[in-house]
Amino acid sequence: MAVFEYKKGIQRPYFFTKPLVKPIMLSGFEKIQLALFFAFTVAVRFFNIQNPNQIVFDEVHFGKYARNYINSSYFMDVHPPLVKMLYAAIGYLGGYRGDFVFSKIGDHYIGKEGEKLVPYVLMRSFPALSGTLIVILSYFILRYSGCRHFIALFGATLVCIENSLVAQSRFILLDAPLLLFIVLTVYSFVRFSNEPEPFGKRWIRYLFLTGVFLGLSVSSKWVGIFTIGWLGIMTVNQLWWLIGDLSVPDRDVVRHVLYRAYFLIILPIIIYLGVFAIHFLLLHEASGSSGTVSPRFKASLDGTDFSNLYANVSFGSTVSIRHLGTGEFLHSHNHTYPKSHNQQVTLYGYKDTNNLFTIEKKDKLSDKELFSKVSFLRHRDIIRLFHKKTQGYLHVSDSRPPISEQDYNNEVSIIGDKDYEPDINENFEVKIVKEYSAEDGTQEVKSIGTVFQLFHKGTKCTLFGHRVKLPKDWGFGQLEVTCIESPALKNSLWYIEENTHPLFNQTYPAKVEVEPLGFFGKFVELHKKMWRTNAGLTASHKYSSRPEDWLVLDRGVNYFNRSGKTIYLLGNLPIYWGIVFTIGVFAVFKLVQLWKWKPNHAPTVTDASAKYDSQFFIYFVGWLCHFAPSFLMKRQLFLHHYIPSLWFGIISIAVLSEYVWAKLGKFVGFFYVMTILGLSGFFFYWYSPIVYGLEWNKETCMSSRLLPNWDIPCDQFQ
Amino acid sequence: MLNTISLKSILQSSLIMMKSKKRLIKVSSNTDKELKNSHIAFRDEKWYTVGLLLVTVTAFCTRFYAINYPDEVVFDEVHFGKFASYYLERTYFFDLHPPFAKLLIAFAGFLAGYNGEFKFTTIGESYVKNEVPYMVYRSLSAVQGSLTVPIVYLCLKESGYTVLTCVFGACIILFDGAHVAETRLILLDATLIFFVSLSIYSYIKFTKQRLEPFSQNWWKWLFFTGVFLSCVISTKYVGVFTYLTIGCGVLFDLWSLLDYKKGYSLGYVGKHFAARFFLLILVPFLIYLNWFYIHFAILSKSGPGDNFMSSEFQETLGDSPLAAFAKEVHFNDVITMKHKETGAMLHSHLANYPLRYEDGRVSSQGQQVTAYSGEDPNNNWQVISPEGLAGVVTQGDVIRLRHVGTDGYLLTHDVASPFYPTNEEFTVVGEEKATQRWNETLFRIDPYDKKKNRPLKSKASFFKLIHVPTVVAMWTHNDQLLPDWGFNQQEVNGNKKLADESNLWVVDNIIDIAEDDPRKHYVPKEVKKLPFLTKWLELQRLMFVQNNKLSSDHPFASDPISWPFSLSGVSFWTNSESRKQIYFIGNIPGWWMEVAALGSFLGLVFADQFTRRRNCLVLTNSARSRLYYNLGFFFIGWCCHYLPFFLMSRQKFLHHYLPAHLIAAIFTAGFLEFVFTDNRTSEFKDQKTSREPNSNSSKPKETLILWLTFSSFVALLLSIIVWSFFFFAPLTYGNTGLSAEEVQQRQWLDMKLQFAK
Repeated sequence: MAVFEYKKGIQRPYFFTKPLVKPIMLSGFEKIQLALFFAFTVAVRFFNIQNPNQIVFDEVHFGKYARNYINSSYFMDVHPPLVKMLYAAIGYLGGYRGDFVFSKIGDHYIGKEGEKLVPYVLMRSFPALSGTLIVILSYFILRYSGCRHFIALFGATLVCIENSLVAQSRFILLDAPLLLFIVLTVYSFVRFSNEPEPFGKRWIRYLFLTGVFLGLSVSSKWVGIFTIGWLGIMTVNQLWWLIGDLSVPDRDVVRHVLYRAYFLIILPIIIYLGVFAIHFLLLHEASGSSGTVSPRFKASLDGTDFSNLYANVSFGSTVSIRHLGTGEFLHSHNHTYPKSHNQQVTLYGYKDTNNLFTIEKKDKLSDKELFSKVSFLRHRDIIRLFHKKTQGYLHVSDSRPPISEQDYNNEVSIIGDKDYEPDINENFEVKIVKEYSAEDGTQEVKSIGTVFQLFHKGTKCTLFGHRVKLPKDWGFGQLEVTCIESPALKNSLWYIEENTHPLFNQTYPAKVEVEPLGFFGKFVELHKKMWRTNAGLTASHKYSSRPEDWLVLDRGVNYFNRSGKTIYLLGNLPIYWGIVFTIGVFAVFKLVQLWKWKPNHAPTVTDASAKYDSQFFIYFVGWLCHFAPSFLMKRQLFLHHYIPSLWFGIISIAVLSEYVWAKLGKFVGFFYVMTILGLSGFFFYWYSPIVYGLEWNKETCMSSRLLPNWDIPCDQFQ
Repeated sequence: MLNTISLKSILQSSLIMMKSKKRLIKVSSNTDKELKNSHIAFRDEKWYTVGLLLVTVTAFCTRFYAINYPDEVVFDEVHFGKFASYYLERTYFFDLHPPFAKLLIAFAGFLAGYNGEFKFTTIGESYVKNEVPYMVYRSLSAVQGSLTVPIVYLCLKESGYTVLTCVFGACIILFDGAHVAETRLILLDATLIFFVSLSIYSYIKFTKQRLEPFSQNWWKWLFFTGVFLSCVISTKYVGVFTYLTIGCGVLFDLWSLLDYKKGYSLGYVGKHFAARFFLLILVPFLIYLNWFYIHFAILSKSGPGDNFMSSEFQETLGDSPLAAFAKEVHFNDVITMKHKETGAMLHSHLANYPLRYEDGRVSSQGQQVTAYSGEDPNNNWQVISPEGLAGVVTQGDVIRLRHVGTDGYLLTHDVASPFYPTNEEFTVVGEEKATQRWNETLFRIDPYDKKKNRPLKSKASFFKLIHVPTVVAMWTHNDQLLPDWGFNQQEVNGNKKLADESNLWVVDNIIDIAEDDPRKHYVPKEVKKLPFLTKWLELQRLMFVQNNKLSSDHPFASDPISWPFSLSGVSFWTNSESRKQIYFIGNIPGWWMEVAALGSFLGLVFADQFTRRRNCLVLTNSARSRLYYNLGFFFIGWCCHYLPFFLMSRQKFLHHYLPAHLIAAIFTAGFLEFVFTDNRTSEFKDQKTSREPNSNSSKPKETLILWLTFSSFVALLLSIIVWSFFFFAPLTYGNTGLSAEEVQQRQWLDMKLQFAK
């Protein structure tokens, strides 16, 4: 968007940067073409949108969340709330009042009498509209990047007919609106960069819009962070040239920096926080999944029941014990460890009767003796913990736990029965940790307020829990509990949440007053949880793939496969491979440049190559920023995680085409463009049945599995 | 200029230096002459030698001080001492680290004439009792640790810094608690750090030859760089980071050779490349392999590492020295059992516990079970399977023990033992009773290394005998013997403290193995051969696989982000009686100073780049080349040794930061001198100091150091560092007990010291 010009300064030569393109004026002919193209795009995006009239793939989640917003009932999800709230708003406008439950994939949106249970077409129109706008914006972005009308139209067409973009923008999913916000960010930024008059009205307007859309992107999905990274690199690059441009006065350099800092950093943060503020405002009712939040968070939700939360804990109290580090409950159930055959003790995230333990004295007491007297639990008291549901005592044995097999780990289990003789290996000393406890909870153990360690007397270790999952097949993916001699403090801390005793009544002892968490407290807690949940999504999934597979389109994702219809997310192979080719050409181009580069020598600039260089750089970095970080993520990934990268890649294809056109002439350029267009157009047409869920021939389907891992299900076709 | 120095000026300047050493500078440096003279003196070879001697001697003092204390196994000496013993016994073992440093340690043991009998099983075991030449082992580390200090000094000297800077840089390492603690124990880090510093030193020497490529010295230092790099990577794989550092330098070198203005042919550049490739990669690799060759050659006998290897590999190992005596125990064998700590045998005889002990407690009046050091037929026990099995006893099995002499079964129950009211009494009951009390006669063999399902072997397999229903371990002690009714033999009882090391027993002998039993005659194993590279590849692959497995929590593991600030350390050793402890932690002011320098460097580079782009040329060209080429190299070195840890998911410890800390020390000293040098171009000099109007003209000029401020600043920093070193010395050396209050005073940042209460 900008061209560098070499100027002789007073003391030394410097680069002078100037905007590349004047605001474009469309000719009448171009306008007609564009209108037709718009109609075509609408057709591609909205065609058959009511089909299938069943819940497809992740619609089951996002539909459910929309319902939660409408019912105001709290839920927890790994993604920021913006797009989910938009879906809720659209559903609400369409008359959805939360009566339909999105319970599983394949549920019908249409009732038995043909009545619409959910305004699902309206809800799907939102991503479809987003998809349409993306295509049109792509055209203008390319124009403002110095491409001619024909090339810009070519690029936009590729965006329009890319199978995975089409499929992804037809259902109630987050990716299409997310991509719309990203593309809007790019558009505003390109417009901003082309503005000739710094600090002018339009300059500020586009800078402002860039910041706004950046904020909206990151409020849709955390992928937006990569967009921030991309914009950061772009901005620093821009500033670097500005600083070197001696025709810009010092004062203006400072202003340039400050304006960008405000609009591109502070503004998006405000928007992001604002989105979460609305999110918390909407979700004010306690619900099933609010069991996973901390007590103070819970207190901020309506309808939270703290009625049995007595402040003092007594011998004979039945309590649930919560782990501070992970926020999960000490839990046991009627299953054993595979090696030792002892009953499992785990950490479990949800409220459950299997979380209940009765606090008993070190010595054997009959139920009568135990429950007939209230005696408060204090620092350094020795207790035994009786697991109510399975009638056994919490026990540590000097053998290795199933996962952490180091010598310093001891296995924790439940042993014995009600009449079990008291033994040192069931004795735990309560050690209150003052630094973490409330002021009044440092001597007597108080629910919620007191944070303590449980020191095992027999093996001299401390009860410990951590984010290490037991295998699904026997441990249900719950977290491991062990006992460690000198544990990391944070993971050995516990507090009491539920607390009942037969002698406790409405007046005695006092109840705990839990102070509700404020906005920032909730914000931070939710983010920690989102981060952990996100990082914890490591289980392998049938259709998951790795980033390197996306480049060559190794495989797709099965979205829907029932009622004679199949929807399979698959990219457009010529486009996917075209991106790799384009990036490869860029890499070779750069390597040659690097080899030719001589230190202390001005690079030779021709118009076409400068344009290609600077423009391609923008989209290449965009592609890289959204793609490369995936390699660092250990969580499960799917093809649709490539979508933002994919868009940047398609724009790169167009920019290279412009260079080919400019450098090698009209004839070669036209041939080059038409080849790509023809191949990808044919591919789109061929695979459209699995994009739109149309009829297909079984044999054709089978023979369309071009690559070995394309597991398109063909069983629904005749 | 050097020619014109008069004796007088040398004396004068030396006087200034002496005084500055005592932090008593009173000399005014107003006049130019003095300024220049002192400057020259600081670059005088003599003073470099004096400084070098000073730091070297002090380094040896700090590293060797109280090296004999504690005379017990400390922290990871458990591992590396053990490995040395395996080398000395030539029994095969497996470890994640390459063999070089471990071979060195073993070699030290070999020179000391040690046979490797002691196996360093737990922290706190006595060296004196077990007659281990631990002083030789530790001296090896201490020598390397001490020599690291002068190498740091020389790195700075070769980079062209003044004596004061060299001394300062060396002192950051010299007076660092972490370096001292880590390099005087039997650990690999002393070797690692020593060779890291040598690699950097030789690379600096090599770059100084760049104007005379392919000269003798050029080849020599290139060769040494490669050799030392190889030693680093043969000690620990963090050596990759040292490679990365030197690699950055080499790539930059080659890149500048490509500059068209230099006019070299591609062939010539190719020659440069080939020389570096050969001496920095190929030769080091061969040396690296060589250590493995020696490793395999020494470890020719079967040992604790066998199970890691493939069966083909295991066939290349001969029998372990124990093999002739280690025999598999079968059910129904008659055996004797020896208590590891006291050497006494499990024993019983026809005498009962008295009804009442002296303290009035009551016994079960059952048959006595004792431990007896002499040979006696009453030491014989028969191993019986509760399920009536025959064949090999495996570790982890449940057994019953029949006392042959009195035909009764070993049993323990919830009756207090003669001496310990808390421990259970052992007794022997007759056949009939033993059947009634079946459960109470069941004992589980709990192997000491927790690895089950291996055959139980006499003399070789140590185990705890755990009573199944009451979970106590069979234990005996010789600090108090039974009175006359027990014939002054040792008491045997059931210990609830299962983790005690003194619970270990071993099958001493199998009595009367039949003539036709194959166990009777020892047949040495037939040894096969495998090509060296096959063995090496197998081991190498295994090392990487195992390394990646080390990913779970460790109580002392820490996050790399906390390292440069030395937020929390590692407790190496404690002694609660005398309230002594060794706590591994850096010199906190010293480490924070490095962080400040590293941060300021980034700021300075940014400011320089920014101002230059705005056409303000503040720094002179020579200052900039110092900033980017010399300091920049050390900065990159620090980054290479530190940042990659953020990408690693295995467990990480503070001592991983030491190589980075070493490079940062060199950097910090150099950076400090840079800051106190007048680096401004004439345009930006103020009137007072700019004497020559055209100072940036063609005539090269010595840079000016602001001596007064520089030396007093260094003196201030040094005194803080030295003070802090002595303040924390009780934790570094562990030879002084501290009161609770004194411990609390030293509990800075996130440190978790023992005995703070």
